Amino acid sequence: MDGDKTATVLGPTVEIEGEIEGEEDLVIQGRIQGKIVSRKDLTVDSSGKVEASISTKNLAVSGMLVGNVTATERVEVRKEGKMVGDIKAPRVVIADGAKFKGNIEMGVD
Amino acid sequence: MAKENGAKENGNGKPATTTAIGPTIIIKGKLRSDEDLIVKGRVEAEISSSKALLVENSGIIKANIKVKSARISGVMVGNVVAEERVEIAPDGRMVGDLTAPKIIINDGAAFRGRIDMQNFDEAQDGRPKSEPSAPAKMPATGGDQPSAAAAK
Repeated sequence: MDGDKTATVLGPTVEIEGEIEGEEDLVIQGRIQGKIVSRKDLTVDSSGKVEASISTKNLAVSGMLVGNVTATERVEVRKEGKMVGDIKAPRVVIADGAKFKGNIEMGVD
Repeated sequence: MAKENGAKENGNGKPATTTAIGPTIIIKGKLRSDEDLIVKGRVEAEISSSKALLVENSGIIKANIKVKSARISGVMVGNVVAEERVEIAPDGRMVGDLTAPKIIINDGAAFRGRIDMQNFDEAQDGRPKSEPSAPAKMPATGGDQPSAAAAK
């Protein structure tokens, strides 16, 4: 399950309405609407527009994301990223310049 | 839109971008694209693409699709409408109806369904020579139809 570093890149002209599930790294440069379930790293590239509830290991947002996120490791909203929604993850990074609106829960005991 | 990030070339000028859907990926719903698609995973989403589609060995598609061209090396269940051509590779398996001006089924491929080469009538007009054999073939394809319809 690990070691093999395959990644799926959904290119800028790809639009998906529905559900995506995967056990490999996923990079989104197009538009997704619906639900994403990943057990690896998920990246919303700067051209990516995602409107979905997301469950993943790691998430990096450089594009636009609307929806709630649950990550088992880390969520990062990068400086060019925009996000609206709630984040639930043990580690959350919001970079200088990033735009964010929503709740964050890091599971602080 | 595609200029500054991962896409190496601008999608407008050159059809340089390709999306490969990896072997562990499952997509359900609807998928639209203007770039070449390679499916190695499982897609249960209606695909509409203005470019080529390649279903690789490990790829499974269960939906109706509309593309420019398609090559099937994996499993395709559903109807395919292609603007240019459809090819079922020797290791490809398909159940469904095919509509395209050019259809190739390679030796070894498995296929069940109907085939419609839209320009069939024009081709007949162009080559009156093929007419004698054509009527003989027509009932045969007609005979296949009930079984294909019954299989659904």
